[in-house]
Amino acid sequence: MFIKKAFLTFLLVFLGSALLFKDIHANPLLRGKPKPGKTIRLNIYQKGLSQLASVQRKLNKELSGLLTDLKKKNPLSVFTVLLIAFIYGALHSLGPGHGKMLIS
Amino acid sequence: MQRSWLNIHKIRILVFSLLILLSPVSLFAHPHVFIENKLDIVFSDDGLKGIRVNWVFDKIFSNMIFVDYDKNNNQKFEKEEKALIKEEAFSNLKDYNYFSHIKINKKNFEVKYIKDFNASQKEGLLAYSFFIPCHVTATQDKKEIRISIYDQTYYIDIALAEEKPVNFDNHNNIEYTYTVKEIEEEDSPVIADEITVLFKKKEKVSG
Repeated sequence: MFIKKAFLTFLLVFLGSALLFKDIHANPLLRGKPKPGKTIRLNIYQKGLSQLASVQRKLNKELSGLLTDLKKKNPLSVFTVLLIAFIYGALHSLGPGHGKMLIS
Repeated sequence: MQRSWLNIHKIRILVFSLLILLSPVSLFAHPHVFIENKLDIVFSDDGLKGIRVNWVFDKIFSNMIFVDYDKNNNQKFEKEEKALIKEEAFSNLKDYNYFSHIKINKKNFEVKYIKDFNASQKEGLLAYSFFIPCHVTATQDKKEIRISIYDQTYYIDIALAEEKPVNFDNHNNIEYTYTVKEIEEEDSPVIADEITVLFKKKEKVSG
């Protein structure tokens, strides 16, 4: 019962914040995206998290590398990675800015 | 096995707070594109001419652009393909001053336009380069230019390359020094590197 409640709370807060912040999650490189309003000021906590950027960068490189590696090896491991990626992607798409991708 | 009411309560509070804290914050600390940045500080005999910005993208964004724009799939961008990339996957940065935050002698320099945009494929990754014209005459007095390149929305993470992130062109007539450190501005929404270049005209040796 507790797990269910926790999950529902998480979902609610996540979707709620998704509605509140949906304009933030647009790629500035691509045409047709909302223009920037005021500079978004992050508080200390969030700034601290952007410190993790170097970790994220490395992770991103590693994951990309992993995916290219797996192409050459066991098809079963490819399937596993794809399954995990699919589940992750499905959950991640609940976040803001991905609605358009889902539809197209 | 008996657990005290207090323990269960504490655990619940901890889990709930973690869940709540983690969800909206992930929006901010979660860039979707990663750029490796290198700068060429371009001088002329008179002083600073401008800054060439060189970006290499992560594999995922690179693949997206390759699929959408390298129509003949020859691992090269033709002139038409480059023009489309510039129009559809770059020119929007005008509204963001091309992510370039520049100060000349402590005064803000707004980047309104750029020149010589080029898109290419480097070792399987997408690369952009463009030139920011920025004329500053070199005199006997030291002048300072500060450059920081970052996406204020942090959708894109831009980091200086680890090897030779800053280069200097045509500096025969110029004396310069430079430092790289984290940006000091309290207003800066993300943590980014700032390059400070001090330069002046080289003293002529008579004789």
